[in-house]
Amino acid sequence: MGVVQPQVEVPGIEQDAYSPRRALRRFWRNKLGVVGLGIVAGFVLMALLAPAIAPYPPLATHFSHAFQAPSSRHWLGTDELGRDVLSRIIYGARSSLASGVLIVAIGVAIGVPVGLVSGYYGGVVDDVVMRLVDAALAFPALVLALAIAWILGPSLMHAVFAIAAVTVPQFARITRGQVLSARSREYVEAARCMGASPWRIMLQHVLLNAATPIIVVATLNIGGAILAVASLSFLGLGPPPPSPNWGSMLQDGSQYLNMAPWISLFPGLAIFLAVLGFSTMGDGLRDVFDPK
Amino acid sequence: MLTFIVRRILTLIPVAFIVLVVTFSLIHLTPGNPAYTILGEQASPQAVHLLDVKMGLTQPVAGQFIHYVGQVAQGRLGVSLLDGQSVMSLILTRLPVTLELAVLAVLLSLAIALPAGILAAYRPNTWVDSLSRVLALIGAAVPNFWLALLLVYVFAVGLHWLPSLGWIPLSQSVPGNLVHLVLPVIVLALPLAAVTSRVLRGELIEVMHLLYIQVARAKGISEWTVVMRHGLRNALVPVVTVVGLQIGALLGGVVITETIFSLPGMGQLVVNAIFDRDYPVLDGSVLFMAFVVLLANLCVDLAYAWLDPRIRYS
Amino acid sequence: MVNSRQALSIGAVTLMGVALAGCGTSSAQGTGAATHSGSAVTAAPVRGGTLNVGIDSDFVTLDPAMSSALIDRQAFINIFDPLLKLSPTMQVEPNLVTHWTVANGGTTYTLFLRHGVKFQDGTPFNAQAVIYNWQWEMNPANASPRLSDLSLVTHLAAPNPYEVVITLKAPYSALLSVLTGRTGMISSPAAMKKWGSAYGLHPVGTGPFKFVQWIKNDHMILERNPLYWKKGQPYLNKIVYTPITNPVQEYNALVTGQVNVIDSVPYQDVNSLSSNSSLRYAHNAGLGYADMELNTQAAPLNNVHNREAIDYAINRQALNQLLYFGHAIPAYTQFSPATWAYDPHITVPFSDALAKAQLVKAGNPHGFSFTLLGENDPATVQEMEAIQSELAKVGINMKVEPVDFTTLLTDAINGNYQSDLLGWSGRPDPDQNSYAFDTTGGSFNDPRYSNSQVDSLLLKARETVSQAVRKQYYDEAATIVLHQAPYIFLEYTPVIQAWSPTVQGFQVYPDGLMRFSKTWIK
Repeated sequence: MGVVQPQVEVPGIEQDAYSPRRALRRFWRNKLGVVGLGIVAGFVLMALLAPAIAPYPPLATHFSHAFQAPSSRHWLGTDELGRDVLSRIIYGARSSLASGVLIVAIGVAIGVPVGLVSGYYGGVVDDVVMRLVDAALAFPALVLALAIAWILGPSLMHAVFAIAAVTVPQFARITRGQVLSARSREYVEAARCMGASPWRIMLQHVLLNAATPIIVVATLNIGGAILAVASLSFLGLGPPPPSPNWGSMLQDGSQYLNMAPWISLFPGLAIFLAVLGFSTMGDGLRDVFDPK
Repeated sequence: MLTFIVRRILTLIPVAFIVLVVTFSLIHLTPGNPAYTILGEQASPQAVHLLDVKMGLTQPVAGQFIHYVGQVAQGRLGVSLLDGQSVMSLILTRLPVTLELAVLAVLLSLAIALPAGILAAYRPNTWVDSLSRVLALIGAAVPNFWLALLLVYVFAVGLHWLPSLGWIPLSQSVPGNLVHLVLPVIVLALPLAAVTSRVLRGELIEVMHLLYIQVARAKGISEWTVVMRHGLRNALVPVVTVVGLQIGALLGGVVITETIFSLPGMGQLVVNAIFDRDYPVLDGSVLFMAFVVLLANLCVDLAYAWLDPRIRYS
Repeated sequence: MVNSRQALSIGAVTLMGVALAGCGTSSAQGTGAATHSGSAVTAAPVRGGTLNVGIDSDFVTLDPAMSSALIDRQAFINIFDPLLKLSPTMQVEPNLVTHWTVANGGTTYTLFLRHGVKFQDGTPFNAQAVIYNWQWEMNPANASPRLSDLSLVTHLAAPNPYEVVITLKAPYSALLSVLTGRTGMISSPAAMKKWGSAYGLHPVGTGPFKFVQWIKNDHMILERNPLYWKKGQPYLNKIVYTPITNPVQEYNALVTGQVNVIDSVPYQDVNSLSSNSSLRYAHNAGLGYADMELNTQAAPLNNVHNREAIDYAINRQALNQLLYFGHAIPAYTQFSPATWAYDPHITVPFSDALAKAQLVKAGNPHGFSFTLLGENDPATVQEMEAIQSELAKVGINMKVEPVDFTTLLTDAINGNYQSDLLGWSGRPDPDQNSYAFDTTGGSFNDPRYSNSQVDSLLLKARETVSQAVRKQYYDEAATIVLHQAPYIFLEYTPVIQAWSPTVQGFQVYPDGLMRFSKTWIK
C-alpha cells in the first residue's frame, strides 16, 4: 500500500441533512474527529513554529556525538551524523504536510473538472477519459510513482508530481460517479427542463452536490499522500539530503537498526501520527456529512 | 448482461495498449541503459558501445517499440537483457511467492476484519464499535515499511522468534515456508483488515435496516442469529468487492514488503528491473500486474452490475 | 593492529615477488600475515556437509567472459579455477598454469598448462580451450568486458595441447595478475557452444565445485566436483549462496544461524563480534578504495586549486571513525596497503587553513558550489552528507544528489557530472588500479584527467619487469595525482568476513573472495 487509496465508501448526498452550523456542532460532538483535528493542528503548529521550538538546528552535524541514545540533552537521540533527531522531525513536518496538501490540491484541481466533464457529457468523451483513468489505475500505483520519480530524479517536487499523477485519476473517477448519480436526480432534470445551460447545471447543481464527498475524500487522502511521499522517500526518491524528511530519515537510519533503533523508529512514529490525524479527522467529517 | 461483459472485456484492449505505451516510454525515457548496469565497475565508453550494439539498443526507440508490440501480440514477452532468461519464466517462478503472500494476507485480513466488523455492527456506537474503529484507523495509518522494521526489530533481532528475511519454497518445507511469511503477511494484512472491517460494519448496519431483517426480528429470532444468518450473507458481497478493489494497493504493498523481507516475488522483480533498466522484464511484469488489476476491476464491475440493477450499463 | 599487519604483509610481498619471477613451485599456504583470526586448520578435515553462505547482492551472470559485477567473482572462484592463483598476500602463484616464461622484452609469454585437468562436463582442459575462450572474448561482436584485458594481444598459438604462446603488441607487466582474475577463468568450450547466449545460466569450469541451480534473488547451489584435479578436495558436498542485500539483515542471518558465513560485516557490528565467542571473524586490508571523482573538464572543478582545497578540507580520520567505526585506513593513492605498490608516506594533511589558501589561489576565497552524485543507499547517503558537512566548514557548498547506480555510471562515463562518489574494488597489480584511470583517454578515466608526466610514468611502469623500479614510478605518479586531485581518495575499504565456529579451513583474502576448496564443517 502506501500510495493514495481512497479507502472509504464515498458518502451519499444527503441534500438537506446539514446546515453549516449544525454540521459544526455535530463535528464537535464526534470525539474521534476532534482528536484527529487536534493531531493535525499539532503538526501544523509544529511545522509553522519549527525554528522556535526545535532545540537544535536540523542540519547541524556533530560526528563525535553520533548515535547517542535518547537523553535529557537529545530527547529522541542523535542520528548517524550526530544531528538531533527531534529537531529533524520537527522540521520534517514542513515538507510532509506541504507535500500532502499539495498533492491532494493537484488531484482535485485536475481530477474534478475531468470527472465533471466526463460524467456530464458521457458518450465518446466519457469513454476515452474513463479508459485513460482505467489504464492509470491499473498500474500498481507505487510502481508508477516510482517510475515517474525515477525519471525526474530525486526531489520533493518530483515526488509530489509523481504521486499527484496517480491521484488525479482517482478524483476523476469519484467525481464522475457523483455526477452520474446527481444527473438523474429530479432537481437536475428539472433545471434542464427549465432550459438552464449545461455549464450552469454542472457548476451550480452537480458540483455543489459532489463537493461534500470530495472534501471528505480529499481530507482522507492527505494522510494517504503523506504516506506515499514517505514511501518514495523511503525508497530514496524524496528531497535530496541533508534536508530533514521523515521517510528519508527512516531509511537512512535503518542500517543502524540493531544499534540505534531510535534513528528510524521515531520518524516512522511521526509519519504514523500525521497520517492517523488526517484520516481520523476525515472520518469525523464523513460522519458529520453522512450520518449512518 | 452478456453484451455488457463482452463490451467490458473489449475495452480492456485499449487500456492494455495504453499501459504498454506508458510503461515502454517511461522506462526508455529514464537516463542510462542496461549496458551500464551490466558492465558496472567495468563500464568504459568502448565496452558500453559494444554491448549496446549487441543488445540492439542502438536502433531507434520507435522501431524497438513496434518490434515489442508485435512480440507481445504473439504472446511473447521476450528475454531479460541481463541474463537471457525468458521474461515469462521469470514471472512464473516469482508469481507463486507473491500469490501465496497475497492470498495469506487477504485471509489474515478477513480473519481480523470479519469478527471486528460484525461485533462493531452488532453493537453499533458502543465501546466495541469505537475500539474496532480506532484499531481500523491505526491499521490504515501505519506505514508498512515502518511496521516491517519494527516487527523485525522486535521479533527477529530482539526475541529471535522469527527469521528476519528470506523465503523457503512450499515444496521444500511447509513449516519453514510459513515461518518466513509470518511477518510479511502481517505487514500486508493490517491495512487491508482495517478497510474491510469498516466496510463490513457499514454494510451490515445498512442491511439490518432492511425490511426482511425487520421481519426476521419480528419473528423473535435472536439478534445474533439475525446478524449472522441474514445480515452477514448480504453484507459479504460488498466486502468481496472491496477486497477485489484492494488488489492494486496490495500489489503496491508487495513491492515494499518483498524488498524489505527479501522475498523473491513479483514486487522485487519489478523494482530490480527498474534499477537495472532491464526493459523486457520491466515491461513484461508491469503489463502482467496491470492485467491482474484490470481483471480484478472487471470482476468488481460485474459484481456491481449483478448486485445493483439500478446502475445502468448501456 | 592494522598498521603492524601492513608492515608484515608488505615485507612478505617483496620477498615472494622476487622468488616468483623464476618459476613457480611456490606452495605458500597463507597462514597469513594478513589474516587475523582465520580459522586455523588443526583437526583433520571431514568430508561432507552443506555450507550456507550469505552474500551482499545477487549474482548478475555466471559467465566469466561476460561478467562485470564484483559479486559474480564469489561464484567464479569456486566454479572456475583461474590459470594462476593469488596467495593470501596477493602474490601470483601457479595453478592451472604450472610455470611460464617471458621473452622478447616482455612481449612473448609462454604458459605451460597442468596435465590431466578436466572440465566439470568431462571434456579436457587444454591449450585449445584457453585459446577458444580468449578468441571469443576478443571478438568485439561478443562485447566481452574481458576485451580490454586482452587488447594488447596480437597473436595466440598452441604449439602443443599444454602450451599457450601469447604475443603482445607491447610489454604488459600486469598480464600474470590479469590471469588470476576472470580473464584467466576458462569455460568448457563444449558448454559455451551448447548453451550459446544462455551459457551464463549454465557455467562449466574446472573448479572445486560445479554449478547446480540458480534461482535469481533467492539462492544458488554448487555441488562438489568429483573430477577436481586436486585429489581429495573439496571437502564440502554442497554450497548454498543466499543474497541478502541489507547488511544488517545479512549479519542478523549469521547471528540467527540462517547462514554459516557472510561476505561482509556491517562496520558497527565488528566490535561486538570480537567479544562474541559464538562467531569467528577476520579483518583484512582490502584491495579497493572509496573515492570521489572530480570532473576536471567542468567548472568549478576544472580549477586544480578548487580540487586540492577539497583534498585538504576532508578529515579522513573523522570519516573513518564515523562511517567505518575506525576499521578502514585513510586513502591518498590508488594503491591499497594490501598491495606492494602501497606507500604510507604519500599523504596530504587535513587542514582547513591549507584548504582556504587553495581557495584563495583559485580566485574564490569564500568557496564555491558543486554537486556530488552518489548511489542511492543509506550508507552512501551518509558518506555524502558527512563529506558535505566537512566541506561546508571551509565554505565549499556541496550539493548531494543520490541517484541509482545506472544513472550514476551513465553520467560519470559521459562526463555529464561535476563530481561523483564511485569506488573501485581493486586488483592485485598496480597497473590495474591506475593505468585506465589516470592516463589521457583511459577507459576508466571519468574525470577526463590528462597529464603527460603521469601518462609516461604509468606507461614505463607497465613496461618494466622489476617490481622495485615499478614501485618508484608508481610513487611518482601517485604523488602527482594526489596533488592534482582528479580523484579524492577517501578510505581503503577493509574486508571483514565472519563465520560460525563449525566452519573450518576458511581464510579471508584481501580480494574478499571466499575460496571454499579447503573448507569443511566440524
